[in-house]
Amino acid sequence: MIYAYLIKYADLRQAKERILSEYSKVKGNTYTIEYLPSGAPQLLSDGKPNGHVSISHTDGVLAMAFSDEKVGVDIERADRAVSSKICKSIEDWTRIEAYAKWTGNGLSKGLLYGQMPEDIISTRKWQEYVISVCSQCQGVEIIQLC
Amino acid sequence: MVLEKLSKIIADQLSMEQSKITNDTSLREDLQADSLDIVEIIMSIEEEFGIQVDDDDALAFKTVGDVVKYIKKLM
Repeated sequence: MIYAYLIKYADLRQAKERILSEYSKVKGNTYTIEYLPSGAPQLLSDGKPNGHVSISHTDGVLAMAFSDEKVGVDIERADRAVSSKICKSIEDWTRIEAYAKWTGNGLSKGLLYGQMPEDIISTRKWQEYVISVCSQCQGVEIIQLC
Repeated sequence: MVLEKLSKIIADQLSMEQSKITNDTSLREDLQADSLDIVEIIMSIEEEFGIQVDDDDALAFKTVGDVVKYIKKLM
């Protein structure tokens, strides 16, 4: 199961802490996040890797997806323009980004033109945004925090 | 010349004033450019300057000045 938390924010750091605190309550653990040299976030409890997290933010909305398996998430405004040289639609872009984060390798031109395993990426609309989540786990639960 | 063309590309992509973009401007912090902005900018650079930007090199761009140096090397 993937737990995707969404929150509108003015202060990004506080918003991340808020979501981490909520997730910690739900799981009965105290989680922290450290960033690898690549920029990828690592989820820790008691200072040791425990589960996975992916982070995306745009336009004052923060999305954090938690899972026991590797996970990638991307959120964009549904009305954001994207050049057709890059991909077909903003939904497509979120799928590419979510997959890139899931691989842990980040974005590359190969991803723009290559094959993506479509069956591990799910895309949905939420308010005026579009969100893609990439994971081998089935099921995404969206939790919106106020 | 390179800075002028590059800052126009960036200004168009990010809907901002070209004059605010200098060699010291940082892409992520000052310009708040996200991954999609950067990919769009790189594609425009490739078209404008007739070069191919390597993925790994693109990851290393921190400031506008880094990009200017890179373009000049490849031209």
